[in-house]
Amino acid sequence: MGRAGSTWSGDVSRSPEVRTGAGTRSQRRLAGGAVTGIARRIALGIWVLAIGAFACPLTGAADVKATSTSGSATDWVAADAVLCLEVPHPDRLIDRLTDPRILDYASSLAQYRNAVQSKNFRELSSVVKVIAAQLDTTWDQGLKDLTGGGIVLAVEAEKAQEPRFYLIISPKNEAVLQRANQALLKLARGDAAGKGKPDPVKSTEHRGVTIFAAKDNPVAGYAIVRGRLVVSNATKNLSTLIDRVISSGTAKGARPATPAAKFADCAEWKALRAKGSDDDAVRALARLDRLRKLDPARFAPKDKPDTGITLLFRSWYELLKRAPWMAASIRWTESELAAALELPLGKEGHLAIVKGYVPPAGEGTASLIQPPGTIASLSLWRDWATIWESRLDLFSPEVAQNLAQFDTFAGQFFGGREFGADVLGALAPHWRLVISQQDFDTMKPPPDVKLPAFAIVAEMDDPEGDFAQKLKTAYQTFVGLTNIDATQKNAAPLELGSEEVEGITLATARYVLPQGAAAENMTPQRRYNFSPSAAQVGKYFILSSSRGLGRSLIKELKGKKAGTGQAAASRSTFAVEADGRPLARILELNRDRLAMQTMLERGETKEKAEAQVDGLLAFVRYLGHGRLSVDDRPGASRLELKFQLSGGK
Amino acid sequence: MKDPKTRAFDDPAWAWSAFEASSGRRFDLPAAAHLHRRAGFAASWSVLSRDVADGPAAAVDRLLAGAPQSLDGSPAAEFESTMDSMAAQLATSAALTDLQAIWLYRMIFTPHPLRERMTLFWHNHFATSMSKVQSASLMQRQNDLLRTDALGNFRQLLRAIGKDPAMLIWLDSTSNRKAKPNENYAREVMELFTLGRGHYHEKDIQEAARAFTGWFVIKDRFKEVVRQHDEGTKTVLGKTGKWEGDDVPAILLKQPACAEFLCKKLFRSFISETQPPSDALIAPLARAFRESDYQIKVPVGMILRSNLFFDPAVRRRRVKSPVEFAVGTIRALEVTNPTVQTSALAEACVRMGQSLLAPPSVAGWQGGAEWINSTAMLARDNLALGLLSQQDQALGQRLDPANLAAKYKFTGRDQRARFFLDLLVQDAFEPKAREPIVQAATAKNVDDDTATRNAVRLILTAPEYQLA
Repeated sequence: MGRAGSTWSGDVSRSPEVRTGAGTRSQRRLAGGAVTGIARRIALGIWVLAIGAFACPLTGAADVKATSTSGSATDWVAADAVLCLEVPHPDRLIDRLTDPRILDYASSLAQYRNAVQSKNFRELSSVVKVIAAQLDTTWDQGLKDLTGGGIVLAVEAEKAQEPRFYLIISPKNEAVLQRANQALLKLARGDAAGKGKPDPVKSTEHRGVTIFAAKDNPVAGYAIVRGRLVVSNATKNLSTLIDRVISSGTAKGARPATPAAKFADCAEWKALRAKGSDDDAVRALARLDRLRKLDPARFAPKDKPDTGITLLFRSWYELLKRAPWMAASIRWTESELAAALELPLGKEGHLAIVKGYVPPAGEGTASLIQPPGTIASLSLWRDWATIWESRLDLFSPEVAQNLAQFDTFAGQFFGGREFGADVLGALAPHWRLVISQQDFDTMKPPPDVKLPAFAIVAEMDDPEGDFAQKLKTAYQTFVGLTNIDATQKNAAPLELGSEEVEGITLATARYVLPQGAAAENMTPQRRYNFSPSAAQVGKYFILSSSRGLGRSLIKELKGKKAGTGQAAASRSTFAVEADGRPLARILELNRDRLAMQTMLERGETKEKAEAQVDGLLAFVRYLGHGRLSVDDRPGASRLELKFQLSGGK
Repeated sequence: MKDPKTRAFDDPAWAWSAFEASSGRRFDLPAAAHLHRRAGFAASWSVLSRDVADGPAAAVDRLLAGAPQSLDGSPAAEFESTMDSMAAQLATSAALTDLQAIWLYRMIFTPHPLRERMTLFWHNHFATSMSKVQSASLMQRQNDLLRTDALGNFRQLLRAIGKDPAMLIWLDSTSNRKAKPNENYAREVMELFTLGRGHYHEKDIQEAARAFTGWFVIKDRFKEVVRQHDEGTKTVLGKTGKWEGDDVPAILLKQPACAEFLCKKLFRSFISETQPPSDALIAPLARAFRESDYQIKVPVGMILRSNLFFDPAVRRRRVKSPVEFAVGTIRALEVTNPTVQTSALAEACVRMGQSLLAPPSVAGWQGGAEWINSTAMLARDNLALGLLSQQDQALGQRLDPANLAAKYKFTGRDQRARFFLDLLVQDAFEPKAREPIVQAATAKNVDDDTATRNAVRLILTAPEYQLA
């Protein structure tokens, strides 16, 4: 790569091609010093050459004929490819990515600024602008014209062989691509000629198709095949693909000779396309079974995952270990950003050890609780009692040993009950978590860091039994233990209290405030965010970090009669909804502190740190309302993420 | 590293006279860089160039007064206000590394490097450690106190530090009862803070401790409990009276040894840590200090303006502390847009042997040769590599040496090498030692960027660069 630089380095502005190119005077000036390095960069590898061509805009794009390519580029991908990713409408994706709301946020990030200020990016950007100037168009319009027919990235692999990477770009018109290629070749050759160097481009013919590569890096290459730009990590791969295209006769409307060998005809891919819509921005399919066989060290998950993964995601982890493929799609419109991920379940279904993670057929999470001011509401189906029973199979011996100790402690905490059968067994598998805004204006004293309130709503199998009382006692024990710790640390203790909310007793605790002179000197502290509270509403037990949220949840559960009725039917195993606007409000309340932390963590000045925080706030607002759900269906598990995008600030 | 005997050390009158540039004794780049290494944390090329052009008097005046703008471009007062606010908000629940990060951030961008340098000096003088105080807000409060009086009045600083909760916790003096006077603070205030050994007796400590009775720290606040104060007569350093705690600093400051003790410490910090000054050399400095009623700026200004300070014989007679090395490198190389992650820098300083706000003992860091050992040198090299790295997300990716050189019109490879030699080490290298730097910068088998980075790395890891 280093020699490539010496081969092509030099001031391209001296080459006659660039001097006589189209474009404004200022654009040509841009070509001056910047292009010196640009040409060097072009020569650094055929990938950059190809990306340069990929980014080249062309004149006359408006009156070009329809593309000579037909069908999907996935016709050219082998049926057993391990990965295939398609961007059906790159022009729309470019519009989304260059949305001012996205760019505003991105430009506030140091990583983005660093990337666009990096030498490589600046050089590539200058190449694109120089060629755009020659061809009288803008870089983004040119990019849309060049990629308008779609982009496919595919990886094909065989055991003990280098994987074959293909990037297939379909332009709106073949002439667009041809002219872009000619422009870049002219630039590179002109630069070399200006320096008295030989032609840096190696071109070979294969069955009538020209394959281009950089002479000092002839391995990777690109070709224009039937009106499409194909880039690959090896020129021999290009020959393979050309053979495939010519022998299958998929181009120019001919019937394919071996339809079964095409990725486009695979049932999983067809199903993915059928489920999608015209708004799909990206769709991808990965063959996990082949990846695990080809490179077990990299792609085969270990037998027993970490404790955290086991607790939260074990069923999905097991699925990932065994699913033959994974399909994903992203949809991105003006008003919505959505993603879906699907993993098929093998014939044997879920393993017995993950029984506690997956709801039986027809069951699922309880409905989300969303009192006023909700930032996020989460609902999870999880049978902890069953998981506890399977702990020896699920966890490593060391963790199981720790759980045995925890069993003893937790049993004592709950009045001598057995933790698994009597505590977890007394709870239904419906768990809900609510995160909510707090009214900081009414808090005395207001905390220094303003945190949201959160609460867990658990469901009891037998609300009339003594278990509810045991939970209340456990809450009081928790407050007592907190006070012992506070006494040892000379910190403020919690004072127990209670209040009636719609006929329900809300047990409360609040930090005792200092009196007299100590009160005058009191500094705001984080702990004043918390006033732990607990209540029972029918079969639901609420444990909240604040009195305010405790009250809201009582009203919500009473008002909707969800506290005593059957939970709303759902097939989801997990669901969460979040609202960006109240989240942004919380972040805004902590804006100064977040900016200060950004100053320290990223070394930014105050001005830039504040701009980053403001960018984050705008981005959170832009994301609007989000929902994530996971459904464990009989045949497959499906994850869906959806944001209803907001109009802006 | 033994200092040669020069006229400067033997002739106090000449030594403390104001330096004036002449044809034989120029105020050139090495002199300006020396001034900033000692009185700040090294300076950028633009600052050095400006000071060389303006002369020593203007350069010293600017250091004593502070710049109108911080390195982040904000007005000085606004920057100080932002930093005070950051310290107040973040220190409440901060870990030691966070506190260190706040201070290092301040050092990097400060418009008043001399004040931060003096804050560091007083931190080492009144050495107090978070390891025992265990309160980030109290450590930060002490740091703020040291900064407020860093170039102010030592009398005021001494009185305030005696009531500083962090100091009293550090010296086990949070409950000083008349029935059982605690002698720790009384001992340290004489031995380490004002007089030095040999200028007091054990009896003086015991009597002073009685004067401090009634001083308590309750709920992180200093409080005088009158009923616990010993109201009897005490004799401290020959002065008898019904002394209270506030009377002791005045008695100590009247001792001739006090100003001499402090001026010797300033001498070690600003002039040389290898050659102890003679009493005769210190006497004029101490006299001026006393006569100004202990205005700290007086001896500091006198030192910075002196013939002795600018004598080439005293250059590089100190080993840079890790903080000087780290902050100085960052300021000189203008790694400020953005700067490094300062918590990572704090950790690097710990690895180099200096954990800010956690000195090893009540006597602070020994400094000098103590900073240099194989582990610490490896840590210094690693910091230099980190700063020059394009992968290290916390410390690297911010410095583009070739770009920095180009900013000052040093564009050719050999020009770049000379630029960094002049910026970072000036005349420290023998001609032969400069050759590998130039060779690295002009190496033909590597690209411009890599060659420049290699050259800067060689300078930063050279023994000469470790000296101030």
